[in-house]
Amino acid sequence: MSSINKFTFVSLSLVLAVVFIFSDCSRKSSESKRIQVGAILFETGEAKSYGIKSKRGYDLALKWAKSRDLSLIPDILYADSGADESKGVAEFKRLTEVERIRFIVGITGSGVAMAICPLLREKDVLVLEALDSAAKLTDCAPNFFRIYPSDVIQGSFLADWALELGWKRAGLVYIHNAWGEGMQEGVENGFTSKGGQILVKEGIQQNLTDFSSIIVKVRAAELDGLFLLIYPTGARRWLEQSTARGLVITTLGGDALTGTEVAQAGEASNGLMFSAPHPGEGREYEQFVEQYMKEFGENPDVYATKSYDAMRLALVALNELQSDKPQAIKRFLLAMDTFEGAAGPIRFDENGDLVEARYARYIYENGEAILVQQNTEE
Amino acid sequence: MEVFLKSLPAQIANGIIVGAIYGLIGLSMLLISNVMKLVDLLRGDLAITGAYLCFWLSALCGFPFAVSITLAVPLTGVLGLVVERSVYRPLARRSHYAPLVAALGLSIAIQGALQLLFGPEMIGFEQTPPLLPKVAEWGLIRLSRLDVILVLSFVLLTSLLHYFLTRTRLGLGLLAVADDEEASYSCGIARNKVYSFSFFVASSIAGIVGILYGLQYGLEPGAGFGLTIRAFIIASLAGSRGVLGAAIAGLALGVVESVCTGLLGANYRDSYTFLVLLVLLWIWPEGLFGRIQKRYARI
Amino acid sequence: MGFFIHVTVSCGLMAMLSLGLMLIVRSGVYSVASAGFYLVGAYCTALGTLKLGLSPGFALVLGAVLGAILGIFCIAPAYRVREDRLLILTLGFAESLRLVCANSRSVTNGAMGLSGIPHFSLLGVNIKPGTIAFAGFVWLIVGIICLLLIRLVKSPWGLRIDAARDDRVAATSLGIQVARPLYIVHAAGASLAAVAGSLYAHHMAFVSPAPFTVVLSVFALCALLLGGRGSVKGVILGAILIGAGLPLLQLVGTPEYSASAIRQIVFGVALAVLTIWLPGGIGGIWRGAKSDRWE
Repeated sequence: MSSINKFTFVSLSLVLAVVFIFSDCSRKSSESKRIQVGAILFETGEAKSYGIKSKRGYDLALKWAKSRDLSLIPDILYADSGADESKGVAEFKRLTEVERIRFIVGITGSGVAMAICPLLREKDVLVLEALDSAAKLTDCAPNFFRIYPSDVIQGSFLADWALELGWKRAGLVYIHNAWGEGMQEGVENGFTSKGGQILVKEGIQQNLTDFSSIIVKVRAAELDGLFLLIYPTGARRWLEQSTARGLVITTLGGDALTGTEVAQAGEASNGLMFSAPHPGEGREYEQFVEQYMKEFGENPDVYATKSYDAMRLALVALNELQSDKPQAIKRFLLAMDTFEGAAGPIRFDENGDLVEARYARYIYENGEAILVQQNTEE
Repeated sequence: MEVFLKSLPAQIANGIIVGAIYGLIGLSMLLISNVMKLVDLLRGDLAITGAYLCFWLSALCGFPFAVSITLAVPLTGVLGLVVERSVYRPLARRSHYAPLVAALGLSIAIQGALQLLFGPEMIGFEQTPPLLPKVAEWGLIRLSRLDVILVLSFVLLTSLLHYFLTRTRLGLGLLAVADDEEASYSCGIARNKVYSFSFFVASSIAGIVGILYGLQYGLEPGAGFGLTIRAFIIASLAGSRGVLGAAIAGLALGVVESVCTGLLGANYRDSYTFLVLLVLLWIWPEGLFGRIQKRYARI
Repeated sequence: MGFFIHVTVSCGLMAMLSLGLMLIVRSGVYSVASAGFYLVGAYCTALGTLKLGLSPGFALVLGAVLGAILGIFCIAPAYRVREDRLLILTLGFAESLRLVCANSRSVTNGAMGLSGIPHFSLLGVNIKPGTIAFAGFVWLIVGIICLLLIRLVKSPWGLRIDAARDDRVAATSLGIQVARPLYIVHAAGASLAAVAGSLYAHHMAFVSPAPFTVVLSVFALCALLLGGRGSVKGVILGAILIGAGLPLLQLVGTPEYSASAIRQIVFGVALAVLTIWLPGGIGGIWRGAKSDRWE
């Protein structure tokens, strides 16, 4: 290829690229005014199963809306945060600045949500969150609502459970992000204030593959029990490597262990216990379980249920108001009387948090997470 | 502190096991970097691709595991060969760093392809659980069958490679090209054949590493990069001083990582590798074995 | 429109990184530490504006200075280390910087990052991110850097650097000081990367250690090599290609992970193909180059 040909080729491709960009701009503005709702989920990364469950919940919510003949059914624009805060922020900017979305249902990852809070305070965008539990998110932004209970409660719930099991000397392994660090603080405070001792405390980065050094440390310390506050894929690796390294210890985890990756550890996961919000009960819940079973062939977990509720609530709001104006939706959510969600009643306090929250105990048996006992209402 | 001391022997043992993998991938990189004088960013990704290939053959195509391994390893070698012929050879002529760009591109493409074909989640071999029960136990040290297989493979491959390079004609040809390309060319050694062969061998070793890694830790599309970095570090530390140098460097790296994690916390796990590297490069600019010239085989 | 501005700014920042790297590579060091200095600038701005209450302009200058100092530190072992070890040295340096930021929870908020970085303002004029003004500002700086670089390369000082690169021994025997220019060049290159980092922090209003990986450094090196090491025009085009490649491909298809995987494949293969196809880099096209020269 002669140099002139190469030159024209490169220039042509650059020109094409520029044309492409501008044509995309014009495409957007000429589109019909269809309301779009954004969703930033975990589609890749250590806790990918959350994204799958959220989508299922959203799909069923859309089906519910269609069955009730609701007029306003928005398009959902999905984005992936991959549990990476930077990526989540970039996607948030893209959704709000480029796609001009004003209503986002779901920003998964407490870390991602925390990173977005300052940006949210400056924009006219409303976020209704389904799955984030970090305690600090209470003060996130005036336009931030979530239907997942805050970790303030979960930490002490886990600590009390451990004390009930008779633990005095415990270990704590947690992940370095907003969720993990919040959980670690909550559990440690709850546990040590009532006489427990944390002898081994290890913070890990996400996507750690080799846990053998920590496992050996835990073995050497001869503890009564271990708090495992990490994400599901890491937990799977932990369980498999524990078996290989001969660690047998009672383990309590946080709600992140709901993720299906844990069950893939097979036999190693038997006996693992964790806390998570109460799955729900009542007519709404049973109907949802039935639908979910029919559609996906298994029982729904807390993530699917909460996502379903969030999207349903969003759809109700949108249809009541027939618009996606953030301020209007905010007024609606605050003034709302109790919304009967499948995962329990939903009512917001002035911070956009749930007024009532219930946690429950779960245990893994034969690859499935089974409800053990119900918590009393807060 | 007593917890640390109590766990020290086990940490060292774990470090050796991890180090076995590092050492092998370092060997793979060493073959390429010394013979072809280029930095290969694809080592880790090739290793993981080999592992995924093996997974595909055994779990999705239904071949017995032994057959899958025997097929996957040379196939990875062939894959490496293809990359070398089509991408590296034309570029290596131009400069030492042009292949880097292409390698990055290919690395991204390979990761994308693996994610497309196998999904982004972690995949475990079903052969792993039967390999986990213990074989030996001393205090806190506990070796599973997989660990033994790992270390044995490491020892075996290292010795085989050493023997091959120092005793066979083909191997000596490799050493000659690594030593002085022009001179070996004038002696009649077919340079291109040597390149291709070294790439084939290195990539096959990478395939084995990938399978072992997958059995021990599970596979993800992005897992290759961590291996590449470590391979690079070990090849740099070992310098031009041989197979054994790389093997020891690999083990040392594994042990340092393990012990430091035990002592200082899992937080900084990756930092220890780089800290060690920086310190060693300051003290021994020639690589770990710069002074020991005559005893070990030079490749 | 917002997306176009985002892409323009990304390309501009990548161009700054590559131009800084051009200076460093010109002295013979193929450094993959760019991401480290990028991170320094970004965190300097973030910590400076959020925790110390500095003005954005001052934080930027501070970042540049800090970048320069760290650049000298990075290259300091260069004489003790053999040439092919330099790559790994720079790699280790950049990764160490990143890991320090990722692990100091109290100072840098660790992996969770620092959010809410204020808008960039210069002499009282507020330049909001996401506006054409910001994109224009970024490219203005790129233009200034280009002019400075072209003048430097042709100056006697630039020739000294070339001499030191080509043959250190001969240069020393001619009385050309080899060490000092190396440090200055490295410091300058690192400074430029730090400036880019500061602007990045304002652009995203959020910094976390995650994006500043070795891969980013290698991308900057790729932009440089793809554009041709000696040609400023080429480097800019290379940076545009790489900085715009992935986001542009995002316009095609949905953001589901399978589509993003396809985007990766396309981008990666395109990169590899372009490298083979253009021996002189993009800058070489005008010359009909068969190989990569320093012009």
